[in-house]
Amino acid sequence: MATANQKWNLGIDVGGTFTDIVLSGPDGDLHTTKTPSTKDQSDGVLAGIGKIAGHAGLTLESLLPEVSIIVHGTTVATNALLEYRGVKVGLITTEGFRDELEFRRSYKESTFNPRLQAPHPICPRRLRIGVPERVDSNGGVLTPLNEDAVREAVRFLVAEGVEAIAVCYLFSFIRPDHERRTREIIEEESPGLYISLSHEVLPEIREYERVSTTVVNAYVGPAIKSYVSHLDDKLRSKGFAGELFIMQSNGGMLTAAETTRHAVGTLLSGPAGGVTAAAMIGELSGYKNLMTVDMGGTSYDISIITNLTPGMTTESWLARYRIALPMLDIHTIGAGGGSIAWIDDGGALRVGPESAGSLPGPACYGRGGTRPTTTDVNLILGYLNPDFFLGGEMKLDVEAAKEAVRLHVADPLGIGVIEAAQAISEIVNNNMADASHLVTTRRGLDPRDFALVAVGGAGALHAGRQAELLGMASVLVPAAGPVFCALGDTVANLKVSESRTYFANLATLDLADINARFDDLEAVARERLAGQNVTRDFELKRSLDLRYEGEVHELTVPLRTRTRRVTALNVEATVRAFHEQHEQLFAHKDVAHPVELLTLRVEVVGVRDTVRPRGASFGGENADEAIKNVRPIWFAGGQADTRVYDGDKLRPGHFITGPAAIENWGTTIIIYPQQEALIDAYGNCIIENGQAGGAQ
Amino acid sequence: MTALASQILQNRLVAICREGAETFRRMARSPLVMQEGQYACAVLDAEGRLLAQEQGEPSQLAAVRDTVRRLVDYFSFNIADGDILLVGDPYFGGTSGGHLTVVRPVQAGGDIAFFAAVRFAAVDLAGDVSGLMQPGAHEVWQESLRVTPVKLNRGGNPQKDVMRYILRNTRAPDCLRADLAAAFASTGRVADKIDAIVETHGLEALVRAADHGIAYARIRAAHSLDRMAAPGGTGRAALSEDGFAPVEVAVSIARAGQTLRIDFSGSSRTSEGSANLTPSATRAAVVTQLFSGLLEELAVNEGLLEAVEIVCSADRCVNPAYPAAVSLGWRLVSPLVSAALAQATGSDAAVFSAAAPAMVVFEAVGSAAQSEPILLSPAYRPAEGLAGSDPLDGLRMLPSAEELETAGAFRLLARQFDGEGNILAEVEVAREGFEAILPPTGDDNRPAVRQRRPLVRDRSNVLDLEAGAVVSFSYARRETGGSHAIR
Repeated sequence: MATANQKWNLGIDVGGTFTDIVLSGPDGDLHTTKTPSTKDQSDGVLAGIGKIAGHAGLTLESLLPEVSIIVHGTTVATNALLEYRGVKVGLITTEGFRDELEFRRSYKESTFNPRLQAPHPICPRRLRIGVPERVDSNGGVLTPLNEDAVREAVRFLVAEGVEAIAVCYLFSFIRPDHERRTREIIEEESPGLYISLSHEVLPEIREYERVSTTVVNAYVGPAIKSYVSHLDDKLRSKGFAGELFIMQSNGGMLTAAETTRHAVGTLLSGPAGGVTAAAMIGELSGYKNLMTVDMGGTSYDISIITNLTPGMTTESWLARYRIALPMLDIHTIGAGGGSIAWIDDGGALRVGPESAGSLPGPACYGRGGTRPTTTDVNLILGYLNPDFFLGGEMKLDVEAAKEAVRLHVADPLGIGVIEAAQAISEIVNNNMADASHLVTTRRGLDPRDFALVAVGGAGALHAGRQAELLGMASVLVPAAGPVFCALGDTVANLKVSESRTYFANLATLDLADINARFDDLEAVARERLAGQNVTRDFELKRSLDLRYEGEVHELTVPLRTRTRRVTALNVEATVRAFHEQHEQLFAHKDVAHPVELLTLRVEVVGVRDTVRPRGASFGGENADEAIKNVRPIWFAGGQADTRVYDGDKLRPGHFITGPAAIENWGTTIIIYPQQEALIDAYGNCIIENGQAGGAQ
Repeated sequence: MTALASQILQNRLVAICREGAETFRRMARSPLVMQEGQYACAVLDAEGRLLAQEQGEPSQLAAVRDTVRRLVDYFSFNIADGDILLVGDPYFGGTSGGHLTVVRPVQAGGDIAFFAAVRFAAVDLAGDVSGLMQPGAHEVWQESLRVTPVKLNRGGNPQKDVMRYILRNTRAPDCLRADLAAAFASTGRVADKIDAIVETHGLEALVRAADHGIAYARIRAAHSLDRMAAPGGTGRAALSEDGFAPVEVAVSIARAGQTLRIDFSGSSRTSEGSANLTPSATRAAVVTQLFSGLLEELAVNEGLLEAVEIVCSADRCVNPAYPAAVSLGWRLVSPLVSAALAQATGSDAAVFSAAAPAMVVFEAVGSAAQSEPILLSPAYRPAEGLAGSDPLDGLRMLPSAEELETAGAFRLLARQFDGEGNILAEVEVAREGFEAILPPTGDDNRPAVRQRRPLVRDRSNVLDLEAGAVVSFSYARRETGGSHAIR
């Protein structure tokens, strides 16, 4: 039973099906639960908090006043964009450049398709207006802002019923005056309208990348603003007096108020918690380099953590719109439990990208699905227990699964159902392994140097085989797997990423100017972190985007300095690091070639004094008491009688040799033959792969 | 499970090519690679059969295979582990001058078993004017240095004299050096990965997988041909190039078992200009027109390339007589192949439309020791409701107005739709000292230049640009519902 005057932290992650809640107490105790997600996400959130309060012996009303921080991963912005349900947006831009959003720099998702449809227009042409103004690349005004034209544009857009206006002028990242004046005019004409200015959203060179990010911010901004405000009101009406934070796509969290201004920063709010949690679990378990794989119903998400630092990218696309903000680098392929197996007209067995989703879902769900999916195959091969899916809340139909595989794969190929199921499983595993190879190759990394962290409903079913295919020595299945993102939310730090384009040749760099600009960036970042009371402990990280003169792609290189002031020696050291990074990524460096600077980046991290999970002492190795039963499971070498363990009964120190299965609510862990598993001090399952290092 | 194991290994080969292409594209310095997508990365077997390939645009489809096959024959038994081969000759399996192919043999089972190859467009290779497009050329020697097969590395040892020779014959040696280094790195990575597969699965399994992949592609291609609206028919398309006789592509097609026989013999003779398509480029245009849907799904390999039989008598615009110039063949003649085939097969649209208007700008001839030409084409031919340009442009990426201006040479004044769905763009030249050529488009749609002083100086096709000159580009909307109309 909890006592009064304790302070609790809540991590809340809203997914498509479930809302996950993690409650962490001041003494390191963790409570976790799941509750169905609701159309109004705040209803599910409140229901989940009420449920977990019960776990701690409290009620919603007695818990919330004792909660100091709530960190929330939300899919409100993501869903608004993916389902094209954002608000009506108008764009005001430099005259002559009205259609950059539609041109997309001629980007095509498929090179050879002559009929590739254009993306859904989130800001159609009639709502995009060019106004006379032009600033040059040095910040000089070539054409003054025509304020009458701006006013006229605003009036037109308001009359058209837009709920948000995005503004993106050429070179506004150098001289933002015109965008600022435009905001004033919009506020005069239509107070309260959501305004998204490109120099605030993404003050970086390249107009398409900037306008796309700015328009998306306007498109999802009102939705997230309304949701966060609504949730905050509800929480406070139940006695919450602490601070509400929203997880950001960069892996940090920000205040609710700041989030509403930079809504586009929440597009990866949900998965960001998972990456944060993986880094924490890795640190606790002694692994610094991690590849996190999250296999759900429709997709397989891969992210890389090197030296406990999650990989970031500025090259993201979502719903076919470019998001150029620094975001966690999460690579997604269409391989999930619902991916459908099929035979193409060349007689090859294929799996995905089409998915049965959750409705009708896999054939074994008995909801009308008749085509075989990865989940059906996992059931047929014995990896899934038909009576223990979601802890037994849902029964699976093995015969329906077999019939689907027989009809659509086994009979057409002239093979048996088991052989077909094994084939489908191997295709899925190899597709995922190939994607993982590409993800590591792009970064000049070798998967064998990483431990695999498997999360998501289906992640731990396939992780052991993935490790074999990728030559990885260790697999880590977190105990908090079913609520992994929410766990990450509870330990996230505050984080603001700020950047400015600064085009210069490093040979002629003006150090005084660089230092002044870094100071400005830091001031902006700290301003964005103002208004919170969780920490006064800030870390400053500065980096430079560098490239060889003539290259298109730049690399973000941490600035090598121990002091606030950047010196010539610091720059030299950073350039040396750039050459090394270039060689690691591309197997090539050219130390004689001029290097140019493109962008200055600052990251201010507000370090929270979070409560880390307590480790338990190891008991004996023997886990026999946890054995539920023995069932036959098909592996590559044939069928094997396999011990099945009750995950709830496993304790730190328990040691299991493969083949074995561990059943938990929401996930099943498969330990393949020649693999061994240990339950660590935090309840995580660490699988050691006996075939490490042998894969290509 | 053998077929399945082969399928998985074949998928791995494809993935390796993708990784190799990605490595090359990210490392290369040539804007023709980075922004125009003019590169390919491939794995071939010891006989030069294409096993898998990833490319940035369609002209590359058959050229690596055709080049390596000739290379294997040329060097015969004189290829050893540690060699790196280089070739760049339109009459040696290529498409046009200035495209270089770097080939690295991969040893397995005590012999050369595979080749890793990268092909790319060098930014310049000593043509008449800077860059690879030579509208005034009549002969291949006016277009670029012909790099006949040489070894850049011999038994692991760099042949510095050969490298020096190549780099002395470009106006952009730094850029080419970086691109060659990228090709070395990329083929090296691909070779390492093939080594690893062989070590894990054995040579025999990989060979079996390759055979399986080729057979599979052949079946998919045959099914695709089965669905063709008109399995037998004829088609024609023509254009007039300035000052030369019209170029006409005529095809007749007939189904021959699993393949399609395409006869180009009725096409016009070799053009006196450079609007000629080499056999390799002709095959690439044919494969793209017929199998664009499959190319979205499958990596191109021998099975797909050989799904069509191409017949053509010698001395035609799609099989030119040596030493005809060819640098504008892909730009001008491949849309004709596409249009003629669309007619012949009853397809509702040609995959390629006419080439986009473009300008090649360079430092005034004779004024700079190094000069990297800039291919300036700020937009694309749009189509209503469709994304981006047509497949002729491959992965081409539009220049950013802000980057262009920051680089100091140009200012993009405007780029947007007109009222009729065409894109209009205007570029201002920011400084003195530039010359330019305007490559033809096939539909009289070259950019227009406005400036005070006379535009043409002493060379008829080279424009003398002044600071403040404004170049207008008009990108006509492309039609997608019917056969592409080319004059």
